[in-house]
Amino acid sequence: MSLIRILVQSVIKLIGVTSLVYVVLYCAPGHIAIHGVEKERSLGRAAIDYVEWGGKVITGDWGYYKDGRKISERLKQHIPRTLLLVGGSLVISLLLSLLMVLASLYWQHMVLVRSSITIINLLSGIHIIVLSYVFVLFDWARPNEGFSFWLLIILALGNGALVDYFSVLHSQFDKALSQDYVSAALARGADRFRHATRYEILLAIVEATSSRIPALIGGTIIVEYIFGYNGIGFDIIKAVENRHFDLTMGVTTALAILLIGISDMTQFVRQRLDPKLHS
Amino acid sequence: MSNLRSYKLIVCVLLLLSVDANKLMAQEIKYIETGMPDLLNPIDGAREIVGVRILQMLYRGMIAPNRMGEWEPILTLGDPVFDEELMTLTFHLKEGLLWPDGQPITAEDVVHSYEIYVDPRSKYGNVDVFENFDGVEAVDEHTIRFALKRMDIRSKVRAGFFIMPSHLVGDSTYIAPENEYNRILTGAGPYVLKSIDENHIEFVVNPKYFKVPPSIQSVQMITNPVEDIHKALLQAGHIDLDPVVRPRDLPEYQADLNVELLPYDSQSWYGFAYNCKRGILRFREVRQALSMAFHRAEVLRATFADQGSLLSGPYTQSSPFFNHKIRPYPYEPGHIEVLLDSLEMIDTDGDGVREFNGEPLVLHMVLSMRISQDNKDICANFVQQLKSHKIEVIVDYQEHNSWYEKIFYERDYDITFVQWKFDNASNIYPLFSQTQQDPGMYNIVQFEHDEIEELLERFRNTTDGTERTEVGKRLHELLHFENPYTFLWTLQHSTAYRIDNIRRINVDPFYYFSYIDEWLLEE
Repeated sequence: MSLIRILVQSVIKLIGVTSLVYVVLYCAPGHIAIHGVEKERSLGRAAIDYVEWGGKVITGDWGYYKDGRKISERLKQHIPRTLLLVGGSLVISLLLSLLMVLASLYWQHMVLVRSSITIINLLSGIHIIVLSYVFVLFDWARPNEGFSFWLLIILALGNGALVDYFSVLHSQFDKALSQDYVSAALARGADRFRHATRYEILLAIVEATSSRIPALIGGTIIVEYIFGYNGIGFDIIKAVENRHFDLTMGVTTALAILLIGISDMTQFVRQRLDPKLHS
Repeated sequence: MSNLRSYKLIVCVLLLLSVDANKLMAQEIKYIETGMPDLLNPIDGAREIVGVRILQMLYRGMIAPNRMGEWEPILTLGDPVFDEELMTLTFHLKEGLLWPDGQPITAEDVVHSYEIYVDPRSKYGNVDVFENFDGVEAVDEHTIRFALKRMDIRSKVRAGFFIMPSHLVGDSTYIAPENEYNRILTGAGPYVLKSIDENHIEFVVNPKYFKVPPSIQSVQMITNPVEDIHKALLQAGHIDLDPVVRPRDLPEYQADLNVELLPYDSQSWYGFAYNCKRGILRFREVRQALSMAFHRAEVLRATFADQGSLLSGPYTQSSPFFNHKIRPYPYEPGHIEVLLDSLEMIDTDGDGVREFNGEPLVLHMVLSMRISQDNKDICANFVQQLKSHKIEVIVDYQEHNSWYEKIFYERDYDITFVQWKFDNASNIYPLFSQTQQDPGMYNIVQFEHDEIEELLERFRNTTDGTERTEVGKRLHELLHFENPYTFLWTLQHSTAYRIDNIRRINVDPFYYFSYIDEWLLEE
């Protein structure tokens, strides 16, 4: 599939997501102000209002929040902070799970390796809220102190993110190593990881990473709430709590762009990596 | 060699001194709140109690109440002066008062601030206090004259509003959210804003403060919506002060040797508000019966460990207008059964819900999601009580702003749960006067009563302290009888602070930080 086709599809998906959220908010009971103006709402006008809103968003006018700040500026500050958390915890999850995969393949009979993997598996089973409280209780992570390395650990461990990563990578490694061409290469004395990592492992990492991102963004909402961290998760709570139409739409649009972008990028990379899809 | 030793010694001494100096220089406190208003100018910030506390650090008015509740000059020279007919009131600002940026505080600033408060676009919740002012003018750089609509020697207390610098606010008499002033919040208070983001504010000493500068050089406020985290942070020493402690946390703090508790009268009360213009709640007897159907003493004991007292009306025991002769309604669950039966509200079709005029008795309880878990449990308890008397209650939890809209603007509810907090004036006029029923005003129960209306006007206008007290007590009695609210209780509030950092604090029950310039830290 060409890059242009992917881009066109992305735009259609983006319009689909934002229009759906728009209609839900539009039909919600009570007053809403779109771009700071309280409007008479009717289903007949919804499409016109949506186009009007979309036009303003494209020209960079995302409206103002109640504190008088531009929503676009607010998101510009908060999105990188959330991406820092999401990206950081992905890197940690990936490194730890790769380490666990290698350890389980090379030294699977060692008690230490097996027990370490079991402990990490157990920790990953703890819900992110409980994990956050434990970290606060033991003073490993402090609320309202901005970015902390421990927040990445909480996100990496919480909600089973690490375990998911590990199980996907482990099964892909197993699958890759049992391929005929790998067996043949091994029989000829080749290094098994050099051959196994050629396509399947890279593909597995790309797949596992892209599928983890939405869950990690969900986790950051909780972490940002508990630790008073100003990111996009904080904005989501603020927008909903205050029934602020423009901020809700702003966050939705930003997240939709982010997630659709990642999904399409994954699709593109997968095409390049997978010889079957490539042909 | 000996030279090297001497240098080492000097370096060590210097290091030790620098550590000590740093400790002395630190002189800062950090406190915590559950959230903060989006805007903190004196108009918008005053809508939430968190904002009221913050404003006390940043702003001062011409006059303010002291610890005894008596109004005394702050930015003015002595008391204001009335003319012979008592129809104008003149204030004289002290000479040499400066804003933190070095500009002089002038009469024009006072006039402009007043115009901002009364501008309808500001939607100032307490605008009723300016009702007797007919206008204001700056006579000269330091003199302000208020024209009065009628003689009222208490008019001076109406001029206790916070002063804002007109050169920073701008020409408009409305502070729009996008006004840059919302980001600098300059006032004449003991502190100025150093930095602000959505869950952290830092204040530093106002270099031009008109009194002795506070000994605490920096105050930081952080917010966290999770109250369990407040406790953990205070006990671990990461914050120094928690302004309002949950009653359930009191035993743990009492056992903590590093934490001191300071109880204070909250001057607030909680209640179930009844929309007196809807359905069966129009009947006084029904409202009384609902109050009798709820075992308030038991709930107070079980939920708040008896850290409060039951109320019989809108004034708390510490108020001079509290009427000791009026007792809270007793718990008489049988009364409501008899009453509803006598009003022919009977479950005729046997579906477990009474009917009135052929319609089932269904009440719509609208609650804010922001109320604490304890209060949510109390509401659930009340609902259960009503259901046991065959009154169906639909509970509708709304986001806080949506709740505010429904209650304060649309009046689209039957019952809600509210907390009202008062300053020393204990002014209940906005809550019960029929003139305060328009959308956005505080008579959310839409209460109307001729005698009470007349008393409220007398209470507001009288200059005789004895008469005022008598009228207040009568109001207490009548409102107890009419029962537009089930007046639940007033709670004993406590502040918790770390004694390893704070030596002395003194809090005002309503404004909290009024005396922060007198607080002392451990050295």
